[in-house]
Amino acid sequence: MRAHDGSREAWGTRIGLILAMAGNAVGLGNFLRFPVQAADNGGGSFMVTYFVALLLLGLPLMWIEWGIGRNGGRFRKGHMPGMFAAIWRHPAAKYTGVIGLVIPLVVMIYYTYIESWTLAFTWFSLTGDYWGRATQPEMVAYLRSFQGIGDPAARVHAPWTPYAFFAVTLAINIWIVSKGISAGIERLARIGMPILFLFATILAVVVCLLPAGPDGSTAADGLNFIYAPDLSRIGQPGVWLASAGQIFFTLSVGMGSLQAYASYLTTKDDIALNGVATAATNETAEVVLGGSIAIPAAVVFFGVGGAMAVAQSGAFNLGFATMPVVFQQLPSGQLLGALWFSLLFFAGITSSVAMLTPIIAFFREEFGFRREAVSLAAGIVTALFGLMHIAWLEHGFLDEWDYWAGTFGLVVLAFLETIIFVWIFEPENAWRSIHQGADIRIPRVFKFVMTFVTPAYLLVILLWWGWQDALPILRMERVAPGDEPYVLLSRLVIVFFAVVFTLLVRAAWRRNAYDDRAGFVEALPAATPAKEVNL
Amino acid sequence: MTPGAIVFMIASWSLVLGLTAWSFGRILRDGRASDGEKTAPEEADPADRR
Repeated sequence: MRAHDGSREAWGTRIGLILAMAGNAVGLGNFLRFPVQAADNGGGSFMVTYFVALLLLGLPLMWIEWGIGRNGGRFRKGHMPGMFAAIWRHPAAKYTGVIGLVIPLVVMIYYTYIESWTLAFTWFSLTGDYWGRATQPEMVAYLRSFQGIGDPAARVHAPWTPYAFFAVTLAINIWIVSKGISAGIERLARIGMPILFLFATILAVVVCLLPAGPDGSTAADGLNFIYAPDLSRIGQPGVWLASAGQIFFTLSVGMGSLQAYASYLTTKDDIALNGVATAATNETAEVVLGGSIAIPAAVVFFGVGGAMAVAQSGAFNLGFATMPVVFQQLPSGQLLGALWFSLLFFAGITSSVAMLTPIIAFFREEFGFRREAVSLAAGIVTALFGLMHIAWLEHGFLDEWDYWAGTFGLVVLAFLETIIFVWIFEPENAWRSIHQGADIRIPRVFKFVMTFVTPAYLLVILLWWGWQDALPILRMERVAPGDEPYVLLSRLVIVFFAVVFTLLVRAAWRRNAYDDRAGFVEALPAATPAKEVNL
Repeated sequence: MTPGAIVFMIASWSLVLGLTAWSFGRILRDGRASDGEKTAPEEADPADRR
């Protein structure tokens, strides 16, 4: 695939691009969050609303983000401030895009820490470190010990253990990103994604072949637990919002990373079919594989009631406490445990490297820094702030970042980009832009969906979550008094990042003498007139 | 599994697997899958901007 003018990097192959995009989307949530959400929200009711959300929210946002990214790439902009400024010729555009730098950095920092748990538990599985802790409470205590939570006297891990695994995980991330788009990220996806699907398929088959558990439950009962059509709940707003939220998180939209990946495409490259293929790959990993491992396994060993209790105790308990209990009761359990956690590791790392891409693009494109230098600097920043998460996990430091950047912030960015790409760029231009180089014609009804339904859907989610969660969280209503300083500091760090990136964007625009009202000069070498290219 | 759950599971799996098979089938059939052209990474030249 060609770069625009020979000066930017490019994807090596189309399949490599799709695997990288899908790798960005497929994350821990596919295997841990989805089954919990499906089980909690009425099974069949959830699945119906989930597919409606995929059509009205997921696919349109996928096309919008690919479109924004590729359009930004025409002007050598792989970051949201530049992409927004390329569409909306207004001084506010670049500052609106700052959120697209803050979110990936913030999420990348705490996501890498969570990713390091999967690496650690891969090692613990191979060495049999948690073997013998065969009950759910014992494994929860083991997990908390590793996380440094609770009574120090009861810990089974050395205090440096989480720091060591975090350092190794971060080093792997930085090494991959420093290699570049084709030689680093694409190569990781071409190796990691097939391994991920292979491991997930092996585990799903093993779970489906499990004999009946102590109370006679089978994996089929687990699948029944997820898919039972409790349509009585389809009228509940909470089910619609839960499924919309899951679609939102699973596709990694509102992050800035899909756009950054798409910026390395030209207008000759398809984005319509690629967008569908990316979403479909992610949905296969989630619906077919993600739904067939953790919950069915939990049902076999703990019964439907026990699995429900585990699901309600959180996705991490399901993945890091329940699953190890299950593996200890299976032949070749150590190997299966290692497969499970390395599957989660590959799901995590293909997402975390994507989050660094817009940050690296910003510093390279606007300040001319070398990729290796920016990667190293990003690694140092991630290490410094990641240490805060390790030290203060039990005080809610990570939860605060996860909510404001990894949950609420994603919806805010998705809403802003939809308005800018569809309404400010204008629906006809957006539609034509998505279809440039396209291998398929998207049904025209999606133009109406993108213009009206998707932004309305996002607005409803924003308002609902704002009322239900954001205000109580902002007022620290659910925070223990002793944790308030940590939560406050957590928020201050996010504000600090926002201020720093705002100043950097301002400096970049001055340094490069950009004129907000004139727009950028297109990087295409040939016939298309510069500046006035409004697709 | 109840018949309803089986129907829901088959419908869900068919939808996502069908979409995946169709999209990758189109990509592979198009022959535009990979032109193999790669551009060596270089630093962006600020002079080309604006």
